[in-house]
Amino acid sequence: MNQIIEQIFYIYFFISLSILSIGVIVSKNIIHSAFFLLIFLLHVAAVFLFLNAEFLMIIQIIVYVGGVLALFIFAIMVMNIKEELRHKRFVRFSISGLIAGLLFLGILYTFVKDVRSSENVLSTSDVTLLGKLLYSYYLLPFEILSLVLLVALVGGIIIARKTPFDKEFK
Amino acid sequence: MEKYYVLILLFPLAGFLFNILIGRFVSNKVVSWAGVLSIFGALMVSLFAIFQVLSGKTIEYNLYTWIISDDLKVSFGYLIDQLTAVMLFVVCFVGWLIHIYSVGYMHGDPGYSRYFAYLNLFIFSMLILVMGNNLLMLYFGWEAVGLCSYFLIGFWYHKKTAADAAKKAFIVNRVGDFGFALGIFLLFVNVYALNYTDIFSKIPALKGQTIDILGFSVDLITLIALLLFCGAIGKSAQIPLHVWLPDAMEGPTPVSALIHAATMVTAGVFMVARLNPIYGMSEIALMVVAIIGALTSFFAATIAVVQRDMKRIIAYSTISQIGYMFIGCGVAAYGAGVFHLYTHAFFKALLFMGAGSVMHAMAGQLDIYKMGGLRKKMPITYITFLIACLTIAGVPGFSGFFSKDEILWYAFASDKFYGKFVWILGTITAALTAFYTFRVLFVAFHGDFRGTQHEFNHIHESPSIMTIPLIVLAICSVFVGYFSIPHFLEPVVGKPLITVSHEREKFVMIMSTIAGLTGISIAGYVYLIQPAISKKLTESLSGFYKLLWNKYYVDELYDFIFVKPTLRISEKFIENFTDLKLIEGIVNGIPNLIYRLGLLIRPIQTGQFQQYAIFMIGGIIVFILIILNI
Amino acid sequence: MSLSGYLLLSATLFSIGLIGFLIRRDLIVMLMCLEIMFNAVNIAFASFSYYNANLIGQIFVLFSIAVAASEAVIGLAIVLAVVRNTGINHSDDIANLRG
Repeated sequence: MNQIIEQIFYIYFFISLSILSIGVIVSKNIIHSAFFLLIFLLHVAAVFLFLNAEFLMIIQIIVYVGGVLALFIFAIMVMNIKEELRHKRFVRFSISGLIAGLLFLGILYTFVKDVRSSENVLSTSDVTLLGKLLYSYYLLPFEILSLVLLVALVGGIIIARKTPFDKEFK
Repeated sequence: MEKYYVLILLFPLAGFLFNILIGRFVSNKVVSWAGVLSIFGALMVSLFAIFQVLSGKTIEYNLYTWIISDDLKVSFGYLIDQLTAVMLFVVCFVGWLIHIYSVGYMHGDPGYSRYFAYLNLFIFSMLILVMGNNLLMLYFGWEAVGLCSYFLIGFWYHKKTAADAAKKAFIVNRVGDFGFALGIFLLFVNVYALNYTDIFSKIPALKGQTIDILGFSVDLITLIALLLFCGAIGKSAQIPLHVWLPDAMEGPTPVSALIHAATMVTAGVFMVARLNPIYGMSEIALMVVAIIGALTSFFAATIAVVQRDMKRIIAYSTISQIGYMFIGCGVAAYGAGVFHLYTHAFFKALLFMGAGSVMHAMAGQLDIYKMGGLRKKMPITYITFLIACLTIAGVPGFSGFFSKDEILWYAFASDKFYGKFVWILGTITAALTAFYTFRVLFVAFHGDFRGTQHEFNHIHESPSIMTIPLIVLAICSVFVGYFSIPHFLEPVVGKPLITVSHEREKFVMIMSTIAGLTGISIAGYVYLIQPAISKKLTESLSGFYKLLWNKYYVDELYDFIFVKPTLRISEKFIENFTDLKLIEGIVNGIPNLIYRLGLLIRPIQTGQFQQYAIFMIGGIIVFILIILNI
Repeated sequence: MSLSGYLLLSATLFSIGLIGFLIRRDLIVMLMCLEIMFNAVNIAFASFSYYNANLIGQIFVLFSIAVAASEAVIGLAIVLAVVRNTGINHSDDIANLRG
């Protein structure tokens, strides 16, 4: 019974995530793309819940929906893109891009179609264990990650400044 | 003890290095002290060596092995025998005096330190030339003095005539040096030795051998001797390669005195005397030497008769006197030739330095017909110049008389069939020599001044740093002849054969004295007593005068035969075909090819980064396929 | 459900994101497609974590999210700079590197 429900949810997520991501790509209005992305990210959060990763789900919602997506919408507003509808959406060599992507999918499919896994699955979600692992064994990468974020912060500020940087650095 | 004689070489080398590296940053005083003292040091050491030689010892010392390559073994060593001793004395002593003279003459020149550096380098090279104990060192010095000569002729390189003269000297010398190098090669492949003593011990074995050239069989020794003599012709400015020496007068006058009168140009004579065993074995080579010497001395003297440029007259006189030396060598009287080299070094340096002193006073003026009456203003220069003229004219009692007489006597008394011929030419030349030297003296120093009053007031005697070397050289010019060089050199060059009785020597002596005095008196008559007669003579013999004035059109001939075709070939063929078509074609063709290839690949680089991403994905797909072995 | 099912979901989403990145002209939508690709990879990590019964996959997801956030910041800053300095906001108009 549980299996069947899981199966149904899996099929739902597969179809909805595919449709949402295709919606991001094909929608004419860039704001619509952003909204498709919002729902897409929430669906991914739900997938995390099914994979016993509640902590990731929270992080997904906070960082992606609250941070990254807000950033996208800010950027769209700052750039003030209005006449998107009249422009064509795809590059003129989109067919070759499509073929390359589909070929890539085919290759990936040959990889994943018969992957075996162990029988025992992650029974419960254990955030305490995750925290302990993160602050002990993965401490150094964690600290480096903070540096990466700092650099991204400073870099983002410098690159997006109002003064054209090429004038100042000459 | 023997190894310390290398100091003779090291002193000038040190002076050169000091002046070329540091000379620019120190005052001119330091430069001149360094230049003069280094030569003085070399002179002192070489005097020690000369005393050793005078006591009958020959110094040969191999400092180190320079090159070892299979059969070729060259050591860096020196040989100081009687011949080298004479040359050492000439080079160091005259070189030293000229260095002192240069301190005054070059005063205030912007290239002062450069000048002394080159002069020291020249002395170093010349000493290598005379001291080396093998042919390679001789050749090294030979080329190095040529290089210094090039530097010093073109010393005022911003003057086009000077730069051209330097190039001319260098290129003309190349012609001779090519033959010289060939001679050394030919000698080496036959005896497998470069050391003088080895060569001389092996050379008799080559007698009678012949070598095949284009179907003619040529006597090997004669060929070697003639090829080596090619170098001497170039370096010593003999016909037909004499054209560079008069132009070389563009350099500073002390350089003309040192390089183009006293030492470098006589290197050819030294070489022939040094290699006398080779020349002694070839009658034909000796004949060529003697004939070329005699012709050169005669023709150069005739040219000198009509020239107006003081330094050029002396330069032609130098060519003529070197011709004399070759006459001596050509009749196998090498000692007499070197004797004349030795006396000539003194009196010709004196003549040049006198001319330099006049130039100094006349602000660079060299035309003797713009001078006149200088003797009152420049008494010391006048007297020393007069002594030099008397010496070169062969007036009895002066050194030039002894050496010239020695040569003419051996030419007259020689067993060679051409002996009488060269003797006649030599005697005529002696008269011409006396005539043209006294022409210079009478025109420039006697009579009335021909320039403006302002110029006349400007004339002054040179400073004592210039006159003292003049006086020393004048004294030397008178007395060096009393030391019998030919006798001194006998251990090295042997004794020339005499076929007529010694009573005839008086006759030769009287003939040459008469020739000299005739020349002097004609010059005195034409230029002092009857000045108008020279003009009349010029007009009545205008064709001949023009021929002489244009130096027998040799320069024009060479220009027509060699220079013009070379220029035309380089313009038509080398510039238009080789350079523009071939080299430019290759140079431009390769980038063009790459450009065309690039055009083929260029469409891939569209600048569309999404396209690049597609290529990337394609690459990843290919990699995965390779990994999966599909 | 099995691991391969989730990996298939991940592969599909990744390919869709890739296709979007390759064919859309708008720079911002291209960045969104990058986010889709990141999420697809995150799903793969999380499913590995689940089916292998250890937490390392989740930690990787955490790192990946942090890097994705940095990437979004820098990418948007670059797009902003490009748009501001050149007025171009379409990828195929940026062809300065054309050979």
